[in-house]
Amino acid sequence: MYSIHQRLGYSLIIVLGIFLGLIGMALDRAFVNSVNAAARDQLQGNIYALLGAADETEDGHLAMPMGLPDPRYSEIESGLYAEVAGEHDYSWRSHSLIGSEFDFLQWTAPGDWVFREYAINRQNFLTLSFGVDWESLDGVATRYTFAVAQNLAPQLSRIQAFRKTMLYWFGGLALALLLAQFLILRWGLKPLRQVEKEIGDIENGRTHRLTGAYPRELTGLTNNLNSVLSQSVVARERYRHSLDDLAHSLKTPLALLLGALGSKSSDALERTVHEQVDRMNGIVQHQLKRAAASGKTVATKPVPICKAVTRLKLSLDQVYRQRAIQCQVDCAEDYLFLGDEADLLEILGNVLENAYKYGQQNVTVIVTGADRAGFVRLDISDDGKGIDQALRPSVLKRGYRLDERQEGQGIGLSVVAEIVDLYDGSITIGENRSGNGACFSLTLPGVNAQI
Amino acid sequence: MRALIVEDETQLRQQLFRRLLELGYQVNDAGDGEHALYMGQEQEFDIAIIDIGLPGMSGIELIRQLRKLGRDFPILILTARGNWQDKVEGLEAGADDYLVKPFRMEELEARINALIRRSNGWSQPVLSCGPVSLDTRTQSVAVDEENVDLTAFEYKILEYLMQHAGEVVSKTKLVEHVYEQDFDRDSNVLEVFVGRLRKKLDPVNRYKPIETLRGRGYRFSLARGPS
Repeated sequence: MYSIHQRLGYSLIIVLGIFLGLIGMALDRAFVNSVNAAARDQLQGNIYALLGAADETEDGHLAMPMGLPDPRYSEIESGLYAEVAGEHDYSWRSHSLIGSEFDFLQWTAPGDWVFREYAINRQNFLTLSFGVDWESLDGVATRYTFAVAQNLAPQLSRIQAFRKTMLYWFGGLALALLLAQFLILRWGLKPLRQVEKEIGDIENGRTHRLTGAYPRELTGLTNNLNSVLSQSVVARERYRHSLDDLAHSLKTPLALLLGALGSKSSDALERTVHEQVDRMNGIVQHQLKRAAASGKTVATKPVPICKAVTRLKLSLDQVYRQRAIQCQVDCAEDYLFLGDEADLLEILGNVLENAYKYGQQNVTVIVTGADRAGFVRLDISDDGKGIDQALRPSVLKRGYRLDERQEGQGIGLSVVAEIVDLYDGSITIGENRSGNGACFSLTLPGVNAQI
Repeated sequence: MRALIVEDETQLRQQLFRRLLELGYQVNDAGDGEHALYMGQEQEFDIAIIDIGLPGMSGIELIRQLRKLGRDFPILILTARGNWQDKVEGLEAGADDYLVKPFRMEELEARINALIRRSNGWSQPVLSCGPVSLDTRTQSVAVDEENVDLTAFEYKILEYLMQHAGEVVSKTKLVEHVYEQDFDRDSNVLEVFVGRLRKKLDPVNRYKPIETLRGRGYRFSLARGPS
């Protein structure tokens, strides 16, 4: 069941059903018990009344009179019946028992009350038998048992009436609760419907971000969604820009190639082909890397920087084995790069390779926290010839129009500068601490791994 | 020298095949990882050129499998995207060098030359053992600085023996690395070639560069390094 509304709805209905059911059962039980208790009390009362009505004969024996307190004892099939039995074969049955073989008296010890229930001809009876010790005036005690039987039909109809009333009330209550539940859910889940609607608007292009005011539980989601949306817009723009630049910068070399087809000298053709193909290759590689760079994204797994540096060092040690470069990595604490792993490898790979290419023997990499909060600093230095102060800006030039590039200039470092820029980081070229060689200082978003 | 080319793009693969043949290599090629793996198991190679972007089994997976099987010939990877993540993964899987497409053929030749040499312990393109020197770039041989004319086969045999100077090379190995499969592997032919080679290099029997070890094979027994 994937609808929140349905989940909440069904579970509430089930809980409601169970609760109302339990309450109903409790009330019903209480009522039934009370009705039964009343019936029993009534029977006890009847017994006492009979006892009170009992006469004594001249010889001190019990005799039931003709007239009894309750007229129902005299009506045939009235629903109220009485019996008395005693020692010396005494037996008395009320008039209401005439024609009936119903015998319910239970011989009982004096002072004991015995209740019984009977079902006869689809009618229910409650009976009570009570034993007495009848003391005559001259002190002779004779045992008697008084018994009364009551038709339970009135009680049953009272219970049924009660149940009917309960049903109506509970039914009404349940409906009211269901309605209330429905309204509450509608109101409570309204923000979700609003998100749904706004996303629909975004998909239709009517808007480009979520603008509603959302409850606390949804703001995390909506803020993230807005970030992702704006980032994808930025990325799309960047991609379009790259393709645009690519198309533009390829026009010149292509034109030159076409032009060279007309040349008479095959040497000239060969030379032009080499030059322009190299140039186009450089342009394509550059734009490819720019487009491939992810830049800042909302959800990226932090990348351990020292591990990345070590991997690159091992790779470069392998490829540049002949140069026997000693590369020292100084990573006192581990830092995490908050960005795309491929981007980090691209940045560090290019800068480090540069150091391996132009260094004489020693290359060092130092990773520390930057002065700027939330950033990490990397210093990569070599002991090569260094980079002329005048040339430094052009080395890192983030050139869009690559037809302005000089022949032979590597594209690696300009891509590095662009990717670093995507992360709001920085890259500067300075000198090695000992004065000879170059030092590339990078700042990139990152945190100390201990945190 | 025997080379394995693994490249799914047909035109490029054929181009590489032709070029390496021209350079005197024995060449086998495959268009996907599975075939390449099979060949790598069945054949002896001196160098492999593997494209990372293969269909099915990736180039990196192929390299891992080959290394796992104990195939330790040098591997050069070709990558179209040229991003560092691919390069690092390829090298970590067991490759020795990488080249970004499109590349110049000269660049490829120089790289594989260097890889083969270095895997045999030679740091320079010219292999010198005393008076004998062999230039792997120009494929020329000189004894006491005088050029010696060799046929293609003679050169191939000499190059293989000198690359492995100091090691015993069995006849079977020599044949596998230097001849085409459908060549009649008559060991007598090999002896004839070696004999001719000896005569050309050392006509007065002074240096005795190539030693025959009965039942084991041949060895280029002059010490490495110039005289």
